[in-house]
Parts: sequence; C-alpha cells; structure tokens
Amino acid sequence: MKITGLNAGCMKILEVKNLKVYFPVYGGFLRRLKGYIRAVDNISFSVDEGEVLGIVGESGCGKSTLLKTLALLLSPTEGEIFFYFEENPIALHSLDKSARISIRPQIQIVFQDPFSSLNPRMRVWNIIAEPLLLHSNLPKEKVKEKVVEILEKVGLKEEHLYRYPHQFSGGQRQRIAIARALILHPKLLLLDEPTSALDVSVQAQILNLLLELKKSFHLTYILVTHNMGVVRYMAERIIIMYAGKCLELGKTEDIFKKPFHPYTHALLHSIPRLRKENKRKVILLPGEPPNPMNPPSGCPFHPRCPYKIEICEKISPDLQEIEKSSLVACHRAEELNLEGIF
Amino acid sequence: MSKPLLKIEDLWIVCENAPLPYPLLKGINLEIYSGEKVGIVGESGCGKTLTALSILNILPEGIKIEKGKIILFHNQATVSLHSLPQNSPQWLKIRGEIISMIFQEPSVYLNPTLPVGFQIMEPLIYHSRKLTREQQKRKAIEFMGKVGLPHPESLFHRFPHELSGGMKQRVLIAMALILHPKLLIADEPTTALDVTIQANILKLLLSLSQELKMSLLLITHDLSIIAETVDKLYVMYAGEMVEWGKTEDLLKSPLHPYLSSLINALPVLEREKKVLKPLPGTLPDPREKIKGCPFYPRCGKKLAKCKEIPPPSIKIDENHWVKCWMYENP
Repeated sequence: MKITGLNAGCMKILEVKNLKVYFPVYGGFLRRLKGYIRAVDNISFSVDEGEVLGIVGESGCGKSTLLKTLALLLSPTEGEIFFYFEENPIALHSLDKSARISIRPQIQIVFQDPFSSLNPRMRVWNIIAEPLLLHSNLPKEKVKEKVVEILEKVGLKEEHLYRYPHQFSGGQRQRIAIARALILHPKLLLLDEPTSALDVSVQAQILNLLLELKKSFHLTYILVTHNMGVVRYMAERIIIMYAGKCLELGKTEDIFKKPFHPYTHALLHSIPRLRKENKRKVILLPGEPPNPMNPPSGCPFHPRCPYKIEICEKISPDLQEIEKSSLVACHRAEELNLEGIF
Repeated sequence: MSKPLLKIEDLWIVCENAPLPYPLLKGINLEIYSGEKVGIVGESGCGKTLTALSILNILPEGIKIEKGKIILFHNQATVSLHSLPQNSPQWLKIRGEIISMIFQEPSVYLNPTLPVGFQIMEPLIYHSRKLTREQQKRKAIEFMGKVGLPHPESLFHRFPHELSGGMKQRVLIAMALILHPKLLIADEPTTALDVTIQANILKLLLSLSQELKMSLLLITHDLSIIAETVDKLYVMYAGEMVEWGKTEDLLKSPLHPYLSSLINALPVLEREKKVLKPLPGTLPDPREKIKGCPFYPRCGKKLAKCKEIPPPSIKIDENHWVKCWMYENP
C-alpha cells in the first residue's frame, strides 16, 4: 500500500521502545571502567509512514547517536527498535550481520557535512552507484540508467557523473549525498542536520528538494536539527531531546503554540527573530547542558530550570501524555501554563 | 557631522597567489561611528571575513590591499591603516588596545597548552606593563566574572579542553575586551554554538559594548541574529556591498533583489508555513570576470543593462543605499 501526501498515513513504520545507548568510559592507570556516557537514555517513540519527525536538541544531547542507532551504525545497549517492512515487524536491535545487510536498503542516512561524507577519491558515478552494486546485481547499463535518473531527480545533470566531489559546491555535494541515499529507494530516510553546513540560500533549495523527493518517493523522514526554523518548516511532529532524554513530544504547531516543558519554552524564546516588533522577552538559561558522564539527579534539566521544586532534584519525571498527542516529562507541566511564540 | 571611528573607502583586495590575480573585494565602503553596532551579512565566500582581516592587516599570505583607504580616527589623530607597514610598532597599540577581534571557532583560537586565565591575562602582560602580575591577575579574574564565567578563581587555572564551547567563547571575549578596545570585530561569534547559548552570548556582547562604550562590528551569515543586535547593516555579495542602511529599514523593506530573496529563503518563524523560495544558483567564482552586476545570473528582476554595466550606489535616503539599476532615477 502506498500512501501519498501529508498526514495520510497512520501506519507505523518504526517503533522505538525504551532505547538506551551507553558508551563505556575507561580511565586511570589500569584502564578501569569509570562509568558510562548515557548518550541516549530510555527513549520511546514511533514514526508513522509518510511523516516527518523532527528531533531537536542542543549539541551533545544524543540526537546524532539516536539517529546512528536507527541507521544500524551503532548497536543499542538496551531497548527495542522495530521496523515495519511490508507490515512485518523486524527487530532491528537483534539482527545478525546478514539480516542487517538485507534491511539496510530500506533505511538510509544523509550526514551533516557533505565535505566529509563523500570520498574525495571517488567520482560521483562511483559514489552513487556503490549502494546499487552492493545490494543488487543489475547489469551495468541498467545501473547507469538508474544513477542518471536519480541524479536528475536531485537536480544535477548527467555531465556531472564523472566529476570528483571537490568540483562541487556544498549544496551540490549534499545533493549527491541525497542521491546516494535514495538510489536504493529506501522507505525511511534519516537526515542528520542536512543543511547546517550550508548557506541560507542553499539551505532553502535543499529543504524544498527534500520535501519534493518525499512526495515522489513516498518517503518517511526523521530529521535531526538544532534549527527551530528548519524543524517548523519540515516536521509534523517534534521530539525535544535534552541530555539523552526525551523531554517533550508533540505536533509541531502545538509545541510552538503551547510548550509544556520549561526547556522547550526557553528554546523557543531564544530563537532570534527577524523583525524587532516580534521580539519577546528572551529567556536566558543559566549554565550549560549537563555532563553526560555525570548527569544530575532527578530531572536532567533541574540545574538550569527556573521553575524547579524539591521533587525535581530527586525524581526523574516520566514522559506522560498531557494532552492528546502531546507528551511531556515534567513534574509541573500542568500548573506552569507556559507561553508559546504564536 | 562627527567623524566616524573607522572608515573604509573604496577598498580593493586582490589575490596574487594565482596565475592571473583576481579581486576578492571590489571597492567596498564602510563607516563605523563610536558606540555604533554595525553588521555585515552575506553568504560564505562573499568577503565578509576578508573585510575584517584587512582592518587589522592580518590578511593571509598572497592576498593584498590593492587600493583604497582604511582610516582610523582616534583621540583626534588620524591613522591610515592601509599604508601602515606590517612591522610598524603602531600596530601593537592598535591591535588589542583600539581594535580587537573574536572568531568563529573558539576552540581553534585558544592555546590548548596554557591555562585560560593566563591567556586572558596575556594582553595585559604585553600592553600594560605598569601593572604588577598580581594586579594583572586580579583584572583577568574581574573580566572573567564580567563575561559570566562561573567561579573565575578556580577557572583561572583550567585548560581550554575542560571548558564547553560557550565558555570558550566567553574566554575569547574576555581576552578581546580586557584592554578596553574602542572597536570589537566579532566574526561569526555564535555560529559554533547552540541556540540557547547563542542568545546568552549575543546579550553579553550587547551589554558589554554598552558598558565599555565600544563599537561592534558583527559579521554573520545569519540574518535573524542581526535584527536584534545591530543598528546599521551592510549586505555583501561577491566582494561588494550591495545594500546598506538602518537595520530596521533594510529588513522591513529590502530593496536589492539579493536581500529580499535571502529573506524569502529563510525558514523564519514569522512567516506562515508555506513553501520557501530558494535562491537559484550559487555565488559566482571570484576568478570569473564579471562585466555587469554580480547578482545578474541569479536575479529574478533583471533588466537589460544589468548584464553589461555594473550598477552604481544609489541613495534612497540619508540612511539607505542600494546598488541596483531598478532604483535609478529616470
């Protein structure tokens, strides 16, 4: 069954349950285990087919780790990830090597920096054809046909086929990276800050291209970004991450109109505005995000939170439904009544 | 009218490291008055950073000022920065004491082998020799407090790798401001930082420039941080200033097609959710010879003569200038 257009799908494509990704840290003379970096700490969510899910957070909050785990580039420490392929759930967390390879064509990733994600010694042709040569045994003419087709889809031309990455601008390189990810016609495309290395004018080109491709390839996106403008433009739902945890999950418009978590609130109010008359009181958060080696007790946000009470320092709040399709992890979510920016 | 603190007149910068030397800046003009906050905005590669580097005469090798003037008016004296030789002792006074600079990537500009406190103190060691070490240290600690670094005494002995990105940028700001310069050049000071930290750093720069009565030259590619920070804005494209004037006027009623399409390409929160209008194409290669307007190939409103004749600077009113044929008086 193919679903076209926005908001049409309600079929799950991905389900993440209590996912934890920890990295051990060794130190001292004997390289003893000193502790763990909790990059992703107990995160659950699901993605519907055909939607764009945005993951927002500051650097170091674990959003890229989460994405790499979903792309099968890292293995989870605990928890479950199910990918629904032709309506059968596939447990991504417990795949063996051959099964992992066979599922890879369905989940592809586009990385942040197109200057380091393309091999400088490969021609565009080799870069884009490589996934096809690995995962299918099409004859060579057919491969070329497909490469040219995808190249034109992302806005490049056949004449670019035998050039090297250094001959392209940043935006064009990101187009090549997108072509490489799409050549296998994946179901799910993971985008790790796809435009943060690009200029504003080129950023808009790439964002529009991604929306166009989503329609024509029936894709589902998980978009990681720290730019609130980009996430509002692209995503239908947003996850707000902080220190490896999910603080808030909800529909984009709802979150911008009425955030429930004090961190989301501060995040929204620290976005610079283009027009002075729209300027509201900027909320400045004291301090810095916590050290992932040594997270604070209780709620991870409490050291910077202007609304903290005693319980925040002791008990970490669970993610709870506060309104229809809005989830928040805050002890005081209901009483705070925070103001959005619309 | 009073004299500006710094004035750049018809500045041309060429790259001589090529078989055919080519211009990187093509006759730019810039004025910064004392206490004024000025912004330069443009895409990467348009020459924003070069402008800043040329003010301090720290251009990379092979890139030289071909013609034009950079004039500093300070204490009733006039210094021509463009003709001051690189080894002139006057530079020591100008850099740091009158003009100071902070950079984009704070971790690259800090020495990883020295404690941050010492690095903040270092300008004092060279410039204020009258102070004793103890006084210098006290002043450094005072400034660390001023830029909002927590526990300055204990942080004084820490190394850059122990600090987060936002804290490192604060260290760099303290280092740049410790000699009370008259002008601070901030080259993309918040690009490497997160949104919440960015808001903090911008607020800090604004309040410090007020407190120390300092002018600020903010260089950025992000139009939205400009709106809340600077009074006067210069829009740069391919080595030229294409539009300049009061920030509010420029953002409210942009005249040059480049600025208006740049604003349209921005996924800002103001606009209702609709399709962004991207700017087609990319910045022209500086090695190419351009006859007419540099924006011609990407422009949506081009006229016949744009291709052949470069547009002059056209005055719209006292505070608004634009380089585009569309606004020529018939």
